[in-house]
Amino acid sequence: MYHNSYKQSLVFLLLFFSSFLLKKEGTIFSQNLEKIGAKDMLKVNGGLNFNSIFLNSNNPNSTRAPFSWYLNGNVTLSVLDWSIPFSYSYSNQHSTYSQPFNQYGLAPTYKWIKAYAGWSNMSFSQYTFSGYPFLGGGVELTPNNWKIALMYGRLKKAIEYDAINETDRDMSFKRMGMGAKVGYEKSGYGLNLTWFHAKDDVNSLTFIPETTQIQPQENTVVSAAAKAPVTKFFNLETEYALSGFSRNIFADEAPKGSNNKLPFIFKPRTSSEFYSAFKSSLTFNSKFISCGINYERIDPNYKTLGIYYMNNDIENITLSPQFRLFKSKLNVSVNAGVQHNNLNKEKLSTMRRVVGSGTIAFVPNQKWNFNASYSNFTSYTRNRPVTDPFYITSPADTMKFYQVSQTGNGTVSHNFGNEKRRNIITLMSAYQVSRQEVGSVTSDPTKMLNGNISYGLQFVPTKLMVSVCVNANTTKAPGANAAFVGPGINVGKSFFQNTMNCTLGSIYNLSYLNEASNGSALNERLSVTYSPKLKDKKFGKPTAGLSVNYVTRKTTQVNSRSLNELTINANISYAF
Amino acid sequence: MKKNRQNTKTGFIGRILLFILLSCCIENGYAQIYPVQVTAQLAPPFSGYISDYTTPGNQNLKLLVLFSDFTKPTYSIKLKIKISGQGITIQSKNTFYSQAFSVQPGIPLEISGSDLTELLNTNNLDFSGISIKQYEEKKTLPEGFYNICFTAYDNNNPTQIQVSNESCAAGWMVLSDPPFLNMPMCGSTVKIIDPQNVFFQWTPMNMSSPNSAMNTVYDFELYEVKPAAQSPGNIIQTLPPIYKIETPLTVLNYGMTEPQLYPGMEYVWRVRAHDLSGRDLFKNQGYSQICTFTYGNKFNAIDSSALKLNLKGNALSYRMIKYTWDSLAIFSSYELEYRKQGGTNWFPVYSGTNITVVNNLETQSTYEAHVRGVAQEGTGPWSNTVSVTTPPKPIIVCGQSSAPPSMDGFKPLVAGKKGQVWTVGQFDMLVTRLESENSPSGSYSGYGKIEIPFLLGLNLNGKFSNILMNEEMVMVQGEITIVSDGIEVFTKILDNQINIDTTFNGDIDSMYVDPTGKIVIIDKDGSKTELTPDKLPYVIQDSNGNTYTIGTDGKIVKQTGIPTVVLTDDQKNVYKEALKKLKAENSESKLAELKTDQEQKSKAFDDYLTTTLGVDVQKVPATNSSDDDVILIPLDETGSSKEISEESDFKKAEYEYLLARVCRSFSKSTLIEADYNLLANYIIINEKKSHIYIAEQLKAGKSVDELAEVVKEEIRRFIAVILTENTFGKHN
Repeated sequence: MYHNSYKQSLVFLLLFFSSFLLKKEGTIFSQNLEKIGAKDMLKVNGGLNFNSIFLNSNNPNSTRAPFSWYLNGNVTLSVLDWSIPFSYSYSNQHSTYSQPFNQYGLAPTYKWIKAYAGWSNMSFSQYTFSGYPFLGGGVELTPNNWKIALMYGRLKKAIEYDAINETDRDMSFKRMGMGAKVGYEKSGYGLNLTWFHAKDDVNSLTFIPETTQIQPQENTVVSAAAKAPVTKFFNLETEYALSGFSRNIFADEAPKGSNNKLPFIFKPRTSSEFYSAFKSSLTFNSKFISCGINYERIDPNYKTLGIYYMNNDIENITLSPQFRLFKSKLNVSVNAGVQHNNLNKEKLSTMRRVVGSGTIAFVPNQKWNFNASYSNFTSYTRNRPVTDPFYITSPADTMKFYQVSQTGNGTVSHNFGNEKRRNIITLMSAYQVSRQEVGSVTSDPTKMLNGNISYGLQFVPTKLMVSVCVNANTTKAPGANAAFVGPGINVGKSFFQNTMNCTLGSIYNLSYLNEASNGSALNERLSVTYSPKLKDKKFGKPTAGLSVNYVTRKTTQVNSRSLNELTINANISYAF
Repeated sequence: MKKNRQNTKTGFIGRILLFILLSCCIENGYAQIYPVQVTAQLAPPFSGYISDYTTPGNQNLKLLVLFSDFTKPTYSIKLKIKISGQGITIQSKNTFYSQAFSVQPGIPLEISGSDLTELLNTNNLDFSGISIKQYEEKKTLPEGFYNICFTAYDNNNPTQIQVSNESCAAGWMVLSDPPFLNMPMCGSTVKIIDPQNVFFQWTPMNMSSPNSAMNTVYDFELYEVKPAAQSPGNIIQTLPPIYKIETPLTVLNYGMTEPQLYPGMEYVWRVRAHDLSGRDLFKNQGYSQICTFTYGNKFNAIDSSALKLNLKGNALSYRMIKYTWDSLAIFSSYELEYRKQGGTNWFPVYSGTNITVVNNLETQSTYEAHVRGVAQEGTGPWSNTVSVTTPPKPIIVCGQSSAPPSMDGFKPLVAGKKGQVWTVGQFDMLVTRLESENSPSGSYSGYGKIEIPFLLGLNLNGKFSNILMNEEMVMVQGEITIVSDGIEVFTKILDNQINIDTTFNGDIDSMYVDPTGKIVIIDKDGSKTELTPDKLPYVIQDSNGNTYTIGTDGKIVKQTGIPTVVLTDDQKNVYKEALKKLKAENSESKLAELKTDQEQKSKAFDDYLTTTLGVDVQKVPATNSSDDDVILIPLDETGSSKEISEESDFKKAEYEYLLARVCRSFSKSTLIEADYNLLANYIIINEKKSHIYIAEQLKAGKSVDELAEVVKEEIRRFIAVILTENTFGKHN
């Protein structure tokens, strides 16, 4: 055996040596770059998720339907460089008098071309068109440093006046929108221009009640956004948007010569208004400190038909520094801002808000973890001083409003043990105090306090986890002082090589109202998830989950009844 | 007249009632008694948009007219309006009156806003304190307290004859902002507390309005964002909330008796302010801007320690560390990060299983690593950090090849993949092609690339069929067939031409593929470069000649290249002469001599084996020997315990013959650039690369011939070392 092996080794060496000197350069380093085989030509993957919730409750505030479900999924077809994802979602929560929930969409991509069809989600910018799904089509092109996006579709479907309930709550005109965005970005510098237009179709409703406040609207908004690295550490980003908005298309066209801030692209009417929004941010990044300074100004009533309602009549400046110290063991982040409204000085009062929050996280080692955060919101409203001789004395003269709300959180956790048993002790507390003054009336503060201590023990080899906790919780509002105190236990275990996880939990709390016992609350939970590992990954990955939650609140009070709520959440998903 | 007074009184009492009901209607009682009594009524909500009042059907602004002169069957009146407050007065133009209204004595006439359209038309109004233009722009009165007054005039008389009192209704006209949401902060992640407890808090923005300051209540609404990634704005428009409650407070304590919040789920909430008295109008019907938060994630739950993985690592070889950890079903994949101890950058590795092997490490270096689970909803906590030191690079000794790993407790490598590096005997093999990935028995067939360390990074292509791999990616059974000369055939099969996709200008220190698929290259200076591959596998070559192949599975394989050396003619001559000398030294006749000697000794050894041990050499299968270009790397060798003289004699003779033959083959007469390059880099003289040594010596005045002698000796020694160390063990 020896003998032969030697011979073979030698022959190999010989041939190898003589051959490598004869080799041409290049092949020595040759690589195997597999070409796409026929079986790789077409790939299909995706997922399906079915979720249903049963609710049995006598709590009037639980507004969930007794049985609701939704189904959503996606399938992606890949052929060579093409990728064609199709997604859909469907729910039984659908109602005739609401915008449709059930959606389906297709978004094929080929290299730098991406197209949208069906229900699509495209966003241009925060102030123009963002987070508003539409039914239609769009395209996104990203050749080299360019970014071009176009969209056209229905933003709202026509919903007729609800003649049965005599309400126009959900009534809406059919609203079509279109937009374009052109951007160019290179080595940190970038420019984006956006145009978006939407208009209600006045003929989309068969009946418009005379009393309704819902009017057909039209909007054109343009925005310019830019970003640039100022130095190695600083980055500047800014956006300005101008929106022309007609509250009512039925209104007459504005007389010639009237101010049109968006000439050629917007037809002003007597019901039209123009608003602008601006923001700018400067960020600084280094190894130990990063900091952002933001300035934002949004005109009173700023709106577009491409975004959902956003706070307006605001000017604010925020500063958000973050520090990473001691090899990132200590992280401190702070967020501070001042904000005020009444930008056009048309309101009698100006509200000022000061927002401050900070978080400290300290992880000295694997065993200890400290975390504390605090935030403070202070608002103050003061009426405009009266200089007007014709001013009629009004009750508002004495009006002022002052609100302070403070929230604090603290967590300490310590873990210890060996490889077989691990222990963790966690201490958590949170409080919130909110105090307000209206005029000269100072109301008692509302205080909420929550404390929680828990101990968990994990048996690593048997994958069993047991934890016990005690919690106390009080809400002290003017005239009512509610408290909950009680213990809880959680048991979790994994089965079948961790493919199944079960958790069982129970919490019992005594409740008090104004220091007198008024009942108890019990919460029972069970959750099971199972995701078997199939032998061949080709068959995909199924997961099933069931969670049962039962809450009961018994009360000894005369005029209130016990609450019972059972929620069963079943989820099945399959990924392939 | 008495009756008239009576009417005035009841009117007054009515007005008081109205005042109590609406608490803001003010009427200045005049002493003078008119035949027509006008009572203006302004019902909440009070809109600053004057045009709102003229909308047909709107009942907010009404006028009650009572004619009390019973001497006339009917009477015709016309009206004027005056709106005042906040330093602004808007009133009917002097010459303008409303249309005529006909009244009958004792029968009150109700005039609603829509009948007053003409009266409220801006063209018929005089403005003071505010220009028409200003008003037209906003269509609304500045916020504040206003009186709307009406006066009736005799319609039949062209001169202005007032026939009624001036009746005013007042209102605080305001369009309040909806509340501002504070806590939990928008877009934040809320810490999970057991039992659940979330504090919500908001700031009312309507507190300057006397109408609603003390009368505002809030509707709190909470929605689930389901399915995930749905637009929260759309959720609010299309689905009912899961919880809704009305509260007079600006805080809410969402506790254990409220509907359960699911860990990892995103929630969206909003608050609607409404004035209990109904007098104030709010923007957006009082609904605040929406705000989302994520209820912890499954992995930040109170028992997150249960999700902390336990990581273990051990060095598989001088360049590989294997990491294993406990897998948990809730994680779909795992993210492991490693770095050289003291380094600043972590290098991520993603794995779908609870085992991963990190390749291409440096020898005798300590690496630290930690791992965490990844699921759709987020990530688990980082595990313990383990430190593993790679052993020194072993000296490759074929004759002393290590015992094959034992089959005891054999655990098969189930998920074999192209791009993995397997340990094959003493070598590492990069798997380039597998007939089938994933084998439950650990048996694989395919092709690989073996890096033979003594060839300084040159690779051999290997072929294997049905080899058995264990979980630690070590071959326990089977053999690798090396294809060397047949490489061209081989390359054709695999389309093996090297394809450099990108040349990187600089020295690459390391690189990794980030989750978005971008390749991040870190050069020796530590600066990062990102590039997006347009296809996979993707090959990058740096200026050192090293190539990096990014496989379809994202794994990166480094191949050490040979730096290209530009030689002068003199340097080349030295090599040429050295090889000539080497060839002369190992002449054909010498080779023949040595061969005869070797054959004799071989026979003697065979005889010994046959006679002493009873082994029939002829029957031992000698696969693919002699002229074939294929050889086997023996793995079944365990080394001998005892040396016998026939064996050592044979080995010696074989060695002498082989050395001579290799030296002769090495010494061909025409050399191409690649050959020079190899010699320049691999022949080391005085611990310097030979080309540097030659250049120095030439400069110092040494002759080409002198140097050729030195280089010849070094080449001979180089070959000898390789043969000794790798083929003959330490016997010689």
